Amino acid sequence: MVIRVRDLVKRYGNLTALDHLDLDVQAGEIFGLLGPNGSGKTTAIHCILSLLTFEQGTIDVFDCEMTPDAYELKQNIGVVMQNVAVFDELTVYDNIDYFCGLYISDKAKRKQLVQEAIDLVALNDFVKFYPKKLSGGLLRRLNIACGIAHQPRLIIMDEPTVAVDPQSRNNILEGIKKLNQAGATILYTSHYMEEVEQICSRIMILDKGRVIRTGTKEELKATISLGEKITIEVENLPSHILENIKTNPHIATFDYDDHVLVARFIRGENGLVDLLELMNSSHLQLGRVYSELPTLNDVFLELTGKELRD
Amino acid sequence: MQVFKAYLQIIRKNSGLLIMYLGIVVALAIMMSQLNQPNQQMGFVSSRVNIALVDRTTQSNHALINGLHDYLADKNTIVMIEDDNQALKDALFYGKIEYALIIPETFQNEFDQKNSAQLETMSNPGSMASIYLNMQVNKYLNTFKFYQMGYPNKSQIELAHLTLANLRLNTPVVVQNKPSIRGSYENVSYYFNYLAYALLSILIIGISTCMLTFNNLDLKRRNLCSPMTLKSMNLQLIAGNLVFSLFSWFVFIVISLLIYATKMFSINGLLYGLNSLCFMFVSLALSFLIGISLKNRNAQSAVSNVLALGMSFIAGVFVPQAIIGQTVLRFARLTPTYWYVLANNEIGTLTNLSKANLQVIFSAMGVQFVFIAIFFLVAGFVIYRKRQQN
Repeated sequence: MVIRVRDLVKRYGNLTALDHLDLDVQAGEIFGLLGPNGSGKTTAIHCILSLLTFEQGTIDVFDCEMTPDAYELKQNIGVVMQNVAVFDELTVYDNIDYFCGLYISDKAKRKQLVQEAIDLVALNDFVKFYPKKLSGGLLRRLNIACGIAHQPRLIIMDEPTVAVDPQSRNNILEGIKKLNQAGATILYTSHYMEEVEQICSRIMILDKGRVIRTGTKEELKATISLGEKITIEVENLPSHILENIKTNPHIATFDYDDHVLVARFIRGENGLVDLLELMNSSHLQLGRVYSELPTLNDVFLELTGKELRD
Repeated sequence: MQVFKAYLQIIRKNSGLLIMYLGIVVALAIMMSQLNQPNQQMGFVSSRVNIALVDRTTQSNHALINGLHDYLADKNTIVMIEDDNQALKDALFYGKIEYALIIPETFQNEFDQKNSAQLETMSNPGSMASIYLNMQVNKYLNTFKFYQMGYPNKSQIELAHLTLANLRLNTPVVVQNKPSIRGSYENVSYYFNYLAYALLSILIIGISTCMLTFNNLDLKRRNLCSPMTLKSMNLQLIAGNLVFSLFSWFVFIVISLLIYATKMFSINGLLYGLNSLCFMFVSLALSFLIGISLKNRNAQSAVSNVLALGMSFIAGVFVPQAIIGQTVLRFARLTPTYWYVLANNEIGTLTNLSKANLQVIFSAMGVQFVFIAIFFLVAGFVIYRKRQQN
């Protein structure tokens, strides 16, 4: 086991930030911690890294107890913090070299590793730039390069794509996949469900410091009652059609507003063909038609009663 | 040594600002020390003043007045101006004369019969020459009166001769001065006094910039996640602070050697260097304290200016301690700058290495070390409090 957390309790005064958290991260996986802001993701990361003390529980990394002075363990951990942590006075190259140098003392090896990190995050054209000259996306990439340059066995990434443009985000996510393919185990936190769905092999959903559910994205989606969501653009939907939809036993919920019909089917039921036939029978003029599978947001919504982005 | 290397890189990145400070400070120090050239005049040489002498007495060839005329003519240049107030004023205004003495009609009688007699004088406002001439006139008349009272039977001519003979006597005065064989250290003192402001400014800016960077919460957390021990990180930061401080001090010492080459290769020069080294440690300790206390860079230059300028002004860096009020000096004693300047002033006047002389200097250095200890103790307390809060 790469990370093993048991019964972790962290309180800030009266607020319980982590409520008896259990977490297992296995070697080679990209483990996603998903939850809205304030759900306890960063607190969990800080506790795992011994940056915070906690009231109760145990944390093991690589089967050894994690403590502030567990320097041998830290040697194998790479950290990408939520806030960009680089020196404004150092160039891109010097920043990566600085952080890599905290782990690797051999100059020649370090030079090679720094170059590999630069290649991975595609910062080759910016090595002589100072951080203040970089865009938000490039700065995030630099932050990642600083955290992974020493090629650690475990990489902990705390919301590395916050406030990043889509292009840079894809670049970063591709980089994370490459690191994982190269053998690194990754603990990844985010409140963007699309990212977590895209790269994580297992996901833990957190809310208010408590574990809501853990599993693969398929397993998580299988736990909810809702199935596909069908959206149809249609003008002037007759009342008898609406009545027909209302009485359809396969449709869990529906809504018709502003010439758009949204129908949520019960899990396992596919009603797209039936619904379209119903529309055709009344010779209705249809606009665009969408079919979407349940998302992690739907999982979160059903489990907590609120949207993930709240 | 990643932290140490990064420290030096941060200093190098800010070197433009530091060099600008250094340049301004050195230029000011040199300029001020040149403006305050020590007074090399060791004796007194009288100078002749253009004066007008108007005699309005009716009696001609009076010995008292003739004697006064001769006495003044001997020391000054008599310029002939007509007896007219407007003409005299014009002559003063146009610089033809600096002083006019008008002997009124009744002067002779008043002088003979009373203890005092009035003369009229005219001069430009604030004229030093008028004071000088008044002294000469009073000196002549007082001496004449003295002889008149002492020799009541002597004629006016004899009294005038006696008076002139007496006033011609000169007493040679030898100024006993023991300047160092290398000359005065006044300029060097000024340079080293000014160095207090320079060191404080540069070290506060440099060290607090680095400390603020390394104390940035995100960077601090990131460093704490690495296998570098806290002890190693702190030692590297201390080494960085020390190297930067010593380098800054060394630059100033090199500049002092370039400007005051011969004077610096002496006991006085050595003591100046030692005293400034003490003050470098004071500045280092204070800068460290400021660096760990500041929360953001906005306050940095304000704190630097207030502390460096404030401590320099009240302690006698820019103006001599001798002309600073006692109340201010009492307050200044609570600053290390006062003791640094005091030691510099003592070194400047040091002519022999007596125990008493050196004791004052080394005591002042000792007080500076007390300040170093206080600053580091307070810094330790601040660090302890911050760790508890975190």
